[in-house]
Amino acid sequence: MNKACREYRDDLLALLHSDSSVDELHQMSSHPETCPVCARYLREITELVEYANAAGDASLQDPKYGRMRARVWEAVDRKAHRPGIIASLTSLPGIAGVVVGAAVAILVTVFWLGDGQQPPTGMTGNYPLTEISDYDVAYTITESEVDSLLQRELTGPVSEYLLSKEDYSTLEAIYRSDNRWEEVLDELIAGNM
Amino acid sequence: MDSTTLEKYRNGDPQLFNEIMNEYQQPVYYYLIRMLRNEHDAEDITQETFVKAYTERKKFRGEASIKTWLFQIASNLAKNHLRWHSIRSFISLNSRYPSLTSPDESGNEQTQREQRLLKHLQHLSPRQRSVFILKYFNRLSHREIARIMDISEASSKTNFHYAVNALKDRIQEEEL
Repeated sequence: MNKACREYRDDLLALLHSDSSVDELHQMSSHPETCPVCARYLREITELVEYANAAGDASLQDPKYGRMRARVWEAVDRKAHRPGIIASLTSLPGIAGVVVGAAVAILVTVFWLGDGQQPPTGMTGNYPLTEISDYDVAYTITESEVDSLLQRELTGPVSEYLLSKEDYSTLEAIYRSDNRWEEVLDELIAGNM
Repeated sequence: MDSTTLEKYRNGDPQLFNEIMNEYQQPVYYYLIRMLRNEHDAEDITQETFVKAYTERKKFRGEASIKTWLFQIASNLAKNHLRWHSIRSFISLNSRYPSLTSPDESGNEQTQREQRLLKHLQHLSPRQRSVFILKYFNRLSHREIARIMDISEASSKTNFHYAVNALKDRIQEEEL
């Protein structure tokens, strides 16, 4: 792509930013008349604009906005009257909850862990917590990191596949792998991740 | 928003808040349905957006428009929702979220186009998708989008470029 083509495409997209009509896009420059590649690009952009225009809002199903407004006020009201943590704990159901919780903890300690029995194989005592914290860590990748990863390293079907599954943990692993993303993907495919 | 209206909003005037809901429920809902591609979630998060806009109204200082403030809340809630959705999908290995009516089930050409566009939008990164929807369908400026998404104006424009080119390519492929 030469300089004239690049400038033409930048101008075309800039015009798109300003909500210009299809006619305005076509009238912007005579460059496409002499450049078949940019003529095709203009045609494709025009098709996208027409496609998106035709989609419009009319086909979206409206929910019952009146009902939604009523639910907003109900939720606001609930929040306004929700007691604080201390108030909850000192209320009758709160005290009952604390007593039942303490009793369950004592029973579990005495009758299950206390006699030397181990949790079932493959499910150690802290397994669920470890899982949760692992996922928390896995999803700390920021959107700008995802963008830079996709634009810098991943192209085509791989990125489309991961994005379609919104698989941020794999993206995270790739991002943290110091450009070893092919190995990471191999591991993923082999089921080792 | 003038200072009197701002004061009324910050004081929780119910009549003013009802007017705000009347004006912005639909654009916020349309933004969310395109972001999340699920009517039920879009409805829930629209509701949550307005609950938050009311309960956290003291945080609004009136530097941006009320529209920008609402979209900022909706955008953050949508982002969190997508993250949790990813975690749930990852755990269950397949999404439990039903998609909207498939194009085949509807005879209306406009509906089919919207559905196909929604499908293509899902292949963009969440940021590109959000920028494209806010720019193209909600007709917001890059300045407003930058504020809503807490990114620079340049980043908003770049993401829009990427989104346009990616969508263009996908539509071309589909039509081949």
